[in-house]
Formats: sequence, C-alpha cells, structure tokens
Amino acid sequence: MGGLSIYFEEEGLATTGISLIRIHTERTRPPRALWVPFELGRPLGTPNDPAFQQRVMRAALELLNASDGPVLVDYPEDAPAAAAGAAESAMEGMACPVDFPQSPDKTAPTSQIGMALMKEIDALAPWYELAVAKRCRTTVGISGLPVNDAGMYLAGFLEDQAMRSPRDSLPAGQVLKFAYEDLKAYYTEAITIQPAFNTSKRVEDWLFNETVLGAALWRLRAICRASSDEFLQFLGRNSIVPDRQINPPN
Amino acid sequence: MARLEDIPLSERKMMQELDCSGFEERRPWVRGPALERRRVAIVSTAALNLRSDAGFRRNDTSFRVIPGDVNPAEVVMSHSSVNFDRTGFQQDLNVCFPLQRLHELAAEGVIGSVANFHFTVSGAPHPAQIEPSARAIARAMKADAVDTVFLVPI
Repeated sequence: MGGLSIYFEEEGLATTGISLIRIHTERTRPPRALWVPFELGRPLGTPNDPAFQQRVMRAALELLNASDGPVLVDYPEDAPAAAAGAAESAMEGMACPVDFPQSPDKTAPTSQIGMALMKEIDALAPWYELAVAKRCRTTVGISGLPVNDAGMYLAGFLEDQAMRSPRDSLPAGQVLKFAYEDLKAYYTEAITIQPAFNTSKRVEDWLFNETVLGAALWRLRAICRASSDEFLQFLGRNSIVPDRQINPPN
Repeated sequence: MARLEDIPLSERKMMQELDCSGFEERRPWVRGPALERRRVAIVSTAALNLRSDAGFRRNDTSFRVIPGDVNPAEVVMSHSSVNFDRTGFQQDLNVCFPLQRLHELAAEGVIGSVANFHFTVSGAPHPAQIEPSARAIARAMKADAVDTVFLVPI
C-alpha cells in the first residue's frame, strides 16, 4: 500500500489511507497513513457500522492537513467487533443451528465426500437465500459456475485431477481456485446470518472443522501439496486453508 | 487483530520478512487544496472486480475499475490469499471499499466530491510489479480531475 502511495504522489496526486501492517508502512514510509488495530480484511473496522467507518475515514482524511511528513498516526479505537470477539469464548461449544445431513467419516472414500457435499450445499440453501435477501447482495460468483456445479467440480477434482476445465477461458487450476472460493463464500454468507457466528474465527473454525466442505478442502490441500503441477503446489502451500487453521496459535 | 502479535507465527514471519525495498529515498509530498475542495478516489488492494470483469489471477499486476455509482451487488473479490477475513466484506462492502462512506462525506461537505471511477489491484505482488498499473491509474484519475487518493489495504 505504501509503495502505491509513493507512485501516486510522484504523479502529483496527494494520498492518505489506511495501514494494517504497521511494520510495512514504517519501511515504505508513505506520506500519510493511519494505522488501525483492526483485523486483516476489515480496514474500516467493522461491517454495517457507518458511524464507526466514518470516524476512521475522517481520521485518515485529516492527515491531509499535516504540513509535512511522512505522517504515520495510530488510530485510538478498537473495532466494535473486538468486543463481540471477547464474548467468543462464551459461545464456544454452541451447536450449529443448521440441520446438516450425516457427514461421512474423515477417512471415507472421496466419492462419499462428493455426495455429502451436495447434500450439505442443499441444506444450507435456505440460509444462503435468507442472507442474500437480507443483504441484497452475494459475493458468490467469481467462478462463473452455479454453486452446485462448483461443488461437483471440486468433488470431481478430488477423484480425478486430470479433469477438464469447465470453463474454456480459464485453466482447470484457476477455475478450481475460483470454485472453492465461491463455495466458501456460499457457506460463510449462509452461516453468518446466525447471530452466534459473529467472529471470523468462529466462522472459519466451523467451516474447516465441522463441515463436509472443510473436509474436502483439507483433502484438496493434501492433493495439491503432493502434486507435481506448480500451480496446484502454490494452491496447496497457502491458498486453500488459512494459516491459523494449519498452525493454530497456542 | 492487525497487531502483529495477534497473527499466527508462520504468517507473522512472512510479514516481517516481506520485501518492502525500493522506496527508501523517495519522499514525494503533494499538498493539494483544502479538504472540503478535494476530489477523492479510492484505490484498494483487495482484488475486487465487477462480476462482468475477469477475476484476478495469481501474480496478476493489472487493475480493475469500479464506477463511483456501482451497485455493491456487482462487486466480488478474487484475491488469492486466504489469510484475511472475508466475512466482513460479505456483509458490507464498505468495510473494505468505503465508497458509500465517501459519498456521505461529500454530501456533508467534508470533502469536495467523489471521483467517477475508483480502482483495485491485487496486493499480492511486490509494489514494483504494480508500478505500471499505478502510473496508468494515476493518469486515469487525473483525467477525472481527481487530486486526492484514499488508499485502502486488505
């Protein structure tokens, strides 16, 4: 982010903005930056809180009044979601309210995982539709595949890595990446309509440890890491399962 | 959470070792008009794109344009990293691309106006690889009479 800021200033445009990783901003030293103590992925702090987001924006815009720099200022407020996170431990152990079909054992044949995945996608459909209706939008769609087709493609790939790309314009590995990101979005949009799933960690723990999709993604990661294909190796290294699931903090 | 101590060790190590070189001696400083007269554009590194656009692919150094009057339902994300939260974005685009907030600030007179076009890149490549896109974005912003850029990471 700091590098972009310097390019724009060199082009004659004044810049200000948000810093999430303070050490990167300290190294690149852009003219103006507001460091915020928020979760990665939430540079304005918390969703659906216009007043809080406005305060953050105003603080960053006020840096434009500085007479010289570089200016790196720490934003003093934590995101309201942090308070919700503090209650996270109280919610641990709460059952998922979605009525899922029986999941296969983790050692089950891949074909069973595929069938269970289709049932799980169907079971989540009412909650997903409710979420879309409430938010008037969905972020599912980067693969260009209907969500059931994305699930079928993922399940098929687990059995046969030589599967043909379902989209002529994109290589199979890239469609695979977009397909499982669509599935993740479908699941997480659906579950976050439930009040108990109010932190990203809670949602992520559920997705990767309590769902058939999670089991499929762990299996996909193992397949990709063992593959000789360079792109699949890349996916397996750091683009399927988040680091904090692979190496949970102590 | 963006405090380093809250980030898992493996990812923290990667962040601490990330190459940020190339900017040591560069200290540009553009002043610009009073805040209430500025025309502002957002530039995000969240690899956001319109549904009708191609998604960002691995090591993608190109950029996408987001119109100032975009329907949030048309904005999706194709960033390659899985190590940041997406549930906030799914619930409210403004948490990572605060276009609605920017319009509100313009309506209140805090800033002068909102650009017709805003831009996104993927923050995954080294900034030097994105420089040609950054220069092209700057030209497009100046053609839109923009004088101030609000940068938002992911």
